Amino acid sequence: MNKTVTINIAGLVFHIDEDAYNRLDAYINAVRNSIQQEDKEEIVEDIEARIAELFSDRIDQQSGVIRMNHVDEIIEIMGKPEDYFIEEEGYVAKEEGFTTSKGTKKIYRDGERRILGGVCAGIGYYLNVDVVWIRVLFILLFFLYGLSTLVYLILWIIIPKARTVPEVLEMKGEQVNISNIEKQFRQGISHSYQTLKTNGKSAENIIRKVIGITLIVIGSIGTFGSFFVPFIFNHQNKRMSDNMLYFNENIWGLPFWTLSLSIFLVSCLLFVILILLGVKIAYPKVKHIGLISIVLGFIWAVALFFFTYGMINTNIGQLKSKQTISESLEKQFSRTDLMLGTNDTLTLILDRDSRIFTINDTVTNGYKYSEIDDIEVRILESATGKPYLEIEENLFTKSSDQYFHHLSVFGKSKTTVANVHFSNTLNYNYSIKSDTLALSNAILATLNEFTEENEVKVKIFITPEQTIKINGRDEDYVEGVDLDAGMNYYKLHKGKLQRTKENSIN
Amino acid sequence: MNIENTKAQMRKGILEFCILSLLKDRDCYTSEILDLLKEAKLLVVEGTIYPLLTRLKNGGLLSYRWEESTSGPPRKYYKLTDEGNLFLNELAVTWDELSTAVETITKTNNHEQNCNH
Repeated sequence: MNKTVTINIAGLVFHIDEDAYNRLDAYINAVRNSIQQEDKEEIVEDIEARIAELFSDRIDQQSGVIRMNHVDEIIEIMGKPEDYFIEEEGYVAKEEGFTTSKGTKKIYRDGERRILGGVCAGIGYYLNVDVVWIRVLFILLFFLYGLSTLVYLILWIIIPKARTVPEVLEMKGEQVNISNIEKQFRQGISHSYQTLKTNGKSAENIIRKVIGITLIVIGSIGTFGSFFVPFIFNHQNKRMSDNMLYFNENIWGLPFWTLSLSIFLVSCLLFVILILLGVKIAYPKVKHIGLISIVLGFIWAVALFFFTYGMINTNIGQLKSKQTISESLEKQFSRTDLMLGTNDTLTLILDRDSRIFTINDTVTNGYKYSEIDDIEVRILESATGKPYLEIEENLFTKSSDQYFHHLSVFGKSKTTVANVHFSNTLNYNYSIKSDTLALSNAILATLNEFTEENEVKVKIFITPEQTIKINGRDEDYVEGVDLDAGMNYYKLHKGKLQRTKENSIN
Repeated sequence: MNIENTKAQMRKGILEFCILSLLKDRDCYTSEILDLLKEAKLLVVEGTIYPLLTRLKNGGLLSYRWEESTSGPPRKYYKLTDEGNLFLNELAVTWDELSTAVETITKTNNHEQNCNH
């Protein structure tokens, strides 16, 4: 029993056995590949017309069907694919090499040994590596931020699938000639490649559609969201956020908005490519997607480069500024002994600075309160056996006429000092009344660009015999202490602060 | 050195000349050209002719027209262009020179060999 297909060659209709059809199809494809000349299709049309003519002479009058022996006969008459090869002018004849050499290898996706798209199998053939190792590599890459997913999908789009026997041979790096094509037929491989086109399509199609449409939806949301990305930049101040120093356009060579544009493109294009990918997966017949993706990918890479470059420059500048600032900070230490008996308890009050009520916390008279984070309280063991208090103030007092200006020159960043006037005095409030130490929760400092660089470190030194009782609302800033309400008696044990039994009494 | 290969090379070289000569007096369609060439044992397999015809056509030496056929697909009738005619005339001159030269050389060699014997 033999299945028969109907074909149309050069306008004539023939019935042909399926195996005969497969061989004829492979033959014509092999011929097409061996013609090294312009107007390939025209030549192939002429050849097909001749084949049609030969068929009409040979057709079995009784059955009206073309059989394998007819096709063989015609291949005999027409010649091997190599016979179609003529030397172009200036082309060195190498006919012997043409038949014996290994064919050029091309990368294709292997539909035969595929799990998803046959990408790994195709790469395996191309690199002459067992497909298992390529798959292992992809699985390992998945744990790197899911990198392999993106790479795989992109390769899926870019690499064409091996659909015809000659393509399968090219994928395997074998010579495309009739003997190899016949070998493929004997192995029955071409048959399964042929049927791949028709069978099992519906299930694959549904999965493709679902994945594709999901990607399109995600991509669309992301693209929409990307339009909000540039808003992280403050164009008025030419800053990315409050923490970022000025971005100097003259030195950067490009206006500030390029930074916004580049981050927009970096974000948006990625999602657009995701949409295209979804379209390609859901509707594989849409053309040019690969090309468009490559172009967009290129633009994306350029945008990423610009953005990264801008950010690195700005960050280097920021680091340099910080360094310069910290070099300009002056440390001032003050030490006060605490009048405390050997077994006494020191009461620590962490309270709001009373001046907060006399000076508005809005900017008044050039003063403002610094953030509470800038005060660091530590309780340590005294080495002298006597309790004392040490306050370290980092003051920005090197010069009264300093202002930092950030410059960045392609890869080289420097920080210079310009001329904005301010004076800086730090004013930290605390009081000691016998066994009670009241610490303020705020620093009063001149408002300027570097107010935030000011800081106060309070170190309270006590002996292990002494107890410390922590009162107050703002308890968060005592280092290394987990304060619970009411649990406020602490003692030093081997240099670490621990709760004492008095807590249970409270 | 493969004898078949050398033979094929020799045939291919004069194939273009022969195709143009065939078309000198009348227009032919592809199968006719094939039959005539095969009859003259100049062509072993048909495949070779198609790229060659297209090359001659692209070179402006041939032109073609379609004609309906009663038995089979439409036929492509090739015709020699004016340029092709000039080309053919030049080739004919060269061929005469070549065949004379080949004849002279092979005969001289035979003669010398005969002398040596």
